[in-house]
Amino acid sequence: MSVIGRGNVCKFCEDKTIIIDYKNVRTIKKFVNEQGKIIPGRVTGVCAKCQRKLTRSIKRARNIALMSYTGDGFSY
Amino acid sequence: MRYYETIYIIHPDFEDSRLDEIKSNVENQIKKECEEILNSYIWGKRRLAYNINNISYGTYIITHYSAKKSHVKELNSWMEIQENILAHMTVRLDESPVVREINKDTKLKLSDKGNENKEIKIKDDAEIKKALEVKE
Repeated sequence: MSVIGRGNVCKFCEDKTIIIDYKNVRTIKKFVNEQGKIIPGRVTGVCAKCQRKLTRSIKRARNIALMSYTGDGFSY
Repeated sequence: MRYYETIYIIHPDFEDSRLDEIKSNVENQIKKECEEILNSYIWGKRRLAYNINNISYGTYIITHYSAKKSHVKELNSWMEIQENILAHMTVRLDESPVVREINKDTKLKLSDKGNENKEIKIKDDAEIKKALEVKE
């Protein structure tokens, strides 16, 4: 393992108070591309367990119109 | 029995009385199968990420309840027929949800307001007395 790779710690494991849920869109939408695509965990540094929760919640949020499928109309 | 969360969207122009009517309708539908309702509250009016039936806003309502799997299926099929519900989704919860105590909060707030008023009145009275004393 490279030293550079270790510096990127999972945000959700670090701070346990953050709840990964489809209802809190503000935190979820940081992990989505401008096109509305889910950013891979190796880029954002989210661990595999949290990434699974994230993808599930993003897909749920899209389903109930809290987040867009195509990512038009918002920027972060 | 498992805990479920149902979220559904209603037309934004509906008044409070009509919203409550729809909410109670859904609750009755859930109660038909002897299920326990833990929460049922209006989440708020939000802008939709994409238009549903050419509508760009919607009021979200959330309900928490415990039910069997077959009952949830029936509920979903019932909700799809409903004209007033724009979209809906049910999610299985891993843990029992936290029961909201909305009534208690409102009561507390009201009592706080009452106390504030009383204090202000007392202060006013004291000031008036002082003023009177000065005049005398």
